[in-house]
Amino acid sequence: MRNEKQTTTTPLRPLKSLFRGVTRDWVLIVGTVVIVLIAASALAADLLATHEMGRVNLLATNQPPSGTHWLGTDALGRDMYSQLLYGGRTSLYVAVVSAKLATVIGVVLGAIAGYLGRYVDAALMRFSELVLAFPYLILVLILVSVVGASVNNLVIVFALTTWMGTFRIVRGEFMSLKHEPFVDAARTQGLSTARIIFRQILPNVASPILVALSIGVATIVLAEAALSFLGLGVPVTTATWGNLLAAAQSKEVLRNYWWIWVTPGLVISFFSIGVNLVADGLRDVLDPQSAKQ
Amino acid sequence: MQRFLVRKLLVLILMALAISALVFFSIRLSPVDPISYLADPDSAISKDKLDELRAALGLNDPIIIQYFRWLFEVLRGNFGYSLMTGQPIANILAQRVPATLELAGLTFFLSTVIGVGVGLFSAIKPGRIFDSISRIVAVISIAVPEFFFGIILIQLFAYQLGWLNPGGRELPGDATFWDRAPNVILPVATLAFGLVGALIRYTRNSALDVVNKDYIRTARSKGVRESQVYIGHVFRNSVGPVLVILVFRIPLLIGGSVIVEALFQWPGMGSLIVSSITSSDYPVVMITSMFVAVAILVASFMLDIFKALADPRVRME
Amino acid sequence: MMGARAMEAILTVKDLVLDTGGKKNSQTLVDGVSFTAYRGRMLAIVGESGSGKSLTVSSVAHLLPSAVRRVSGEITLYAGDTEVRIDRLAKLGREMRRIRGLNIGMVFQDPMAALNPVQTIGRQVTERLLAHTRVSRADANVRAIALLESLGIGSAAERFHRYPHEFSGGMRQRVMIAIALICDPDLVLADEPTTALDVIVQAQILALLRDMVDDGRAVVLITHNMGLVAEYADDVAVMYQGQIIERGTVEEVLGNPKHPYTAGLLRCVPVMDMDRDVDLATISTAFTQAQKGHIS
Repeated sequence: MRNEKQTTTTPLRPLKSLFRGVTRDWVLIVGTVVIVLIAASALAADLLATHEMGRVNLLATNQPPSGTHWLGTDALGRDMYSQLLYGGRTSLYVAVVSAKLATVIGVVLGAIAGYLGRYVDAALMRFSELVLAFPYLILVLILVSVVGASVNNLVIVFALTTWMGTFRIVRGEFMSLKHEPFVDAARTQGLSTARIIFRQILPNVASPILVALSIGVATIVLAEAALSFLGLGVPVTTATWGNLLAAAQSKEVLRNYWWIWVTPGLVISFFSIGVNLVADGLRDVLDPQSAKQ
Repeated sequence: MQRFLVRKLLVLILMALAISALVFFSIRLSPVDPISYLADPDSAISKDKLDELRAALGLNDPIIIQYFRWLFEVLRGNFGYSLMTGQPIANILAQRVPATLELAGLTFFLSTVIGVGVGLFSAIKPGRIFDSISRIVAVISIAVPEFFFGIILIQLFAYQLGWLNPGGRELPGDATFWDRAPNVILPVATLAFGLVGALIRYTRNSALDVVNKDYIRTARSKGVRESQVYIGHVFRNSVGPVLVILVFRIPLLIGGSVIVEALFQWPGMGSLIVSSITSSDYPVVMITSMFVAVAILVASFMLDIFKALADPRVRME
Repeated sequence: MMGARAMEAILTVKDLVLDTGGKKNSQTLVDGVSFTAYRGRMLAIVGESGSGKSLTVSSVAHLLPSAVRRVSGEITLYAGDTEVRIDRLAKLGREMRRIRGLNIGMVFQDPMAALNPVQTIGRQVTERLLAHTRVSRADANVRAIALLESLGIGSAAERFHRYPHEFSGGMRQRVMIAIALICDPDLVLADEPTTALDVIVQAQILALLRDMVDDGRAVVLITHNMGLVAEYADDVAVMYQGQIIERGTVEEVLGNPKHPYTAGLLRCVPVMDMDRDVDLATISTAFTQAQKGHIS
């Protein structure tokens, strides 16, 4: 007689083989390098900055890049290089925390909807569709105007508006996985529904969740930038990438003082491209048929 | 086919009603006295006049009746008055909607044609130069914030080269559409650039999926020309999934692209929403939100129609 | 038995070798396969999955998947008075397409997957005709309807405008056969055409294939079902791991299998009045048993 060991038949690739696939793909490597560089410099802002955050120096306004101010100064004489670093720290903080929170919401709701199905699923799907179809920024705007724009409020607002992507992915996976034999095996052992959902099925969904999480981070960075551009984001005293870029609203700045807005814009763009490359790479590794011929 | 559409239409109407109810009761929850946005501000002079008005507008009636009266008014086109400017909201919308439609229509057309076209052609020879370039463009389109792109465009074309205006929809002296046509170029280019990326990707992936299907092998086994294999078989089956994205773009564009409108000072729905939110002009916020929500519902319904037309299997449900 | 009448060859494959290409790690998929298909006879190519039978037939139509490369071998089609070397033609070139269109008909395994879901079956049948001949659309429709009727699809004129998902499996396969036959090809290649169908429909489809043979065409049938071979085919070639290990007429091979593998295959087919208490043989056990000399 064969030993009936309970093995998890995973239709998706476990995280370990994911990493192996990762190192072979140049797209992923480039993307990861970019992200790591930017994130690391933002984290180490205190070490790398040359000036204090938000330090005003009215004697040196609108200076082009020079030896003391590597990336020039803005209208209040603040050092752009340091502002960029500190701004990165705030922006990334907001984006990462929000994305994580959004992912948690999406995962929990998605797991419930996917596993329980029927009415619960129908209700949650309708709800997510409604929120999803509403133009993202408008929704964010309305919520922000209600609660006010502080860093922590933004985190919550973004989390509440970005969970839908993860929700759909997790729900989809759960719907297909719940029919797999290992779930039946778990059920026959008398495991509780919650245990089955979180201990048995969820680990199989880890890879797509990672992809959704990374995209969430990029989306929120861009949304925060857009919000600040409209003047409705974090108050200017706390630097964020969006705040810095918003300076370009003034025609004068736009025309004459390129260093004030080009670098934040480029950094946001590169970060976003990096995340997208990583997400693409992860997706290709997960589903090799989809990418190449 | 008819039963299918009628059913979907009913759902559409029900959901629209639900949204209108949501909007109505939300406004009433706000601390603003209904009279301030239901009545023409010029008519509210003395307290007695106000009470008269209140009675005339039925503000003393049960809330349910008030809801239906309001709904009736809305369907007639009477949206109430703006708290900020005192103008009838209907008038404000009448000014803003054409601007947004201009922007939205052109952007939709341009981004769809380019996005879907490039995506389909990339799938013909995957891995070659055209495909590689289009994939890079797609990533950039998706990742770069659209207003950064817009800023660069302004810097380049308006300031450095001086070819186009840096913003605004029409200047005094612009009589016909063609006079102010150049103003539309930069906003549309900015908006469209942000949208093509996802379309290119999605279409390309859809087409690549289809190319590997068995019925394409059947088509080739008939000795049909490759161009016919692609046009008649691959492309027709590839656009289905793409339709979903396309149709949901419409409400996006109706809501107005908030960023682009702010950047180019384009007086459309998007900038209206932003300004009404910042000035707490609740009635305007609510009405415009309702507009957007209904647009979404209509878009969803149209999606169902298209799907039924394109894929005969759906009609059977 | 055919008797002394000369058999007219329609297709000859000589020493076909296919592998997965690439400089290193290339696997040989088909290793020196040769056979001939004759007019008015059905050749069955039998073997288990992975033996290379589908690829061999795909090569004939010059429709190999991009992962597979033809290393060497000659494929010759005899059309009327001319000989065409298929291996010398460009895969998607005009000449090869013409040959595919007019001289070769293919029937695939899964008719649901092999039919375009968004085109009416009528259009799919007439497409070949319209692409390669000069008939008008109206004429093409008439011919298609007549063909569908003759294949057993009733009220064909009305069903002409219906979509694949509106048909049952057996009907869909008849549509595929119509697609294959509309230009009256000399050679028909059928790749496991009945595997996805139930037994009764299977018999009907194979009867249709048999009709094609009686009409004077050459039919190559790929299958893993020895029962079908015994009942419908004239000639058989047994493939194992990319090679043809035995060939001949059905009577010869099935009556007196020379290769142990063939014998093993035959032993695996359950027979009506066999002893119920004896375990069914699997290929591996039958193979080893046969090798030991127990050819029954």
